[in-house]
Amino acid sequence: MSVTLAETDALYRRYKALALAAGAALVLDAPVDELAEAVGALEEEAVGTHCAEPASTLRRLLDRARAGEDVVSDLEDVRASHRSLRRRIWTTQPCEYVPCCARGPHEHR
Amino acid sequence: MADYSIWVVEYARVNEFARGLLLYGQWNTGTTIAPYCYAVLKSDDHLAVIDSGYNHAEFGKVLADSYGVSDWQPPEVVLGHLGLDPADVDTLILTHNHFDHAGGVEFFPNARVYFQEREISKYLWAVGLPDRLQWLTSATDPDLMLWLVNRMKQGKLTLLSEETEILPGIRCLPAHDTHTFGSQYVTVENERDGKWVFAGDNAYVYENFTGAHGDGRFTPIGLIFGSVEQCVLTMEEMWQQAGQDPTRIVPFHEQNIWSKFPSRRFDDSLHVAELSLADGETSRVDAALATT
Repeated sequence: MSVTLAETDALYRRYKALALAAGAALVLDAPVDELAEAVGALEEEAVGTHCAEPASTLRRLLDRARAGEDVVSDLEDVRASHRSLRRRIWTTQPCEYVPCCARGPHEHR
Repeated sequence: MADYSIWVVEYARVNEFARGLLLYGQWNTGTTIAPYCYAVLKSDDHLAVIDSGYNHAEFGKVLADSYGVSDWQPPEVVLGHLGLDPADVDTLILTHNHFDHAGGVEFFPNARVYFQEREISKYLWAVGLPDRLQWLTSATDPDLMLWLVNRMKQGKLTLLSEETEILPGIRCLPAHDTHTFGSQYVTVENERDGKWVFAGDNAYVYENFTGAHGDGRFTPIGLIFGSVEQCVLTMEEMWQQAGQDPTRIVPFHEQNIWSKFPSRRFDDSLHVAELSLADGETSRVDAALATT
């Protein structure tokens, strides 16, 4: 399966928005059912890409949260897979943070 | 009321920071030195820190390198300049969820964290937005959010939504829809020397208050996720809280703070400014008495 850089970037951006929201939901003790379903859909679409494993890890975390189980150990797994994905993405895509590169052009591509 | 000793500690700096980012509208006016700082408040009963800095690893390092951040040191070293230990910090107030302010929660393992609920909940709102609007979420990272989950699971996270006195004399005040969705600023009322205002990133430098042209007309910061109007009105709130005395307002990216207050530059090039010293407390900026 060949995935373009643009497709990978799009998957990463969806994953990141969902991971941020998942963290927010857990901090707020808010329902995560819809988020878990959205992450599950991303996981299916991301098969064969760098985003597959992080999406799967995030979905497991949300499933456990949904079941009312302790998620502390899962947090480390999510963090590790997120960091790994972020490192991979930033080898081909510019860092998406703002105000990124306050002093000049990207130097970390 | 209590009496806090107050220090502003530099933990890193940017030597070429675009003035246009510090001062709205000052595009193409060159660069300046911008320290990265947090504040340490010490009373007989509490050790509190306002903002945490970041961890110079992983995405913190990537962002820092892209900004040209240099001379970073962890809280162990930075608080060590004061003879203090991050493990003894019992209260950590985060002004907002950007990496250079909230990216170091892990360094303060025993602290209760105080944060605005809106700074979290807006990320749940944002996930429903189309990708073309995700710029709104692009200044933070899941890593930061997951540290907060951890702290919440430990029972050491307090989310605020209104003005709250979290310790005697220390108040967190919402500054919503300003620099970020759910920013806050902090006031410290000392019995001995009155009120201090810690701006977070609702002001980067004194010039935000004195005006980019020195005319006393507020010039807001150059990076605003909320509204410019709310930024300026929050500056007015802080201005009034500070009794219209800009030296009573503490911006965390202001290099002139080292000349406005007694300060010391340590061997690692980082500064400490001593804003207030409680009775019986030893100065950390008197080289003869300093503990390094």
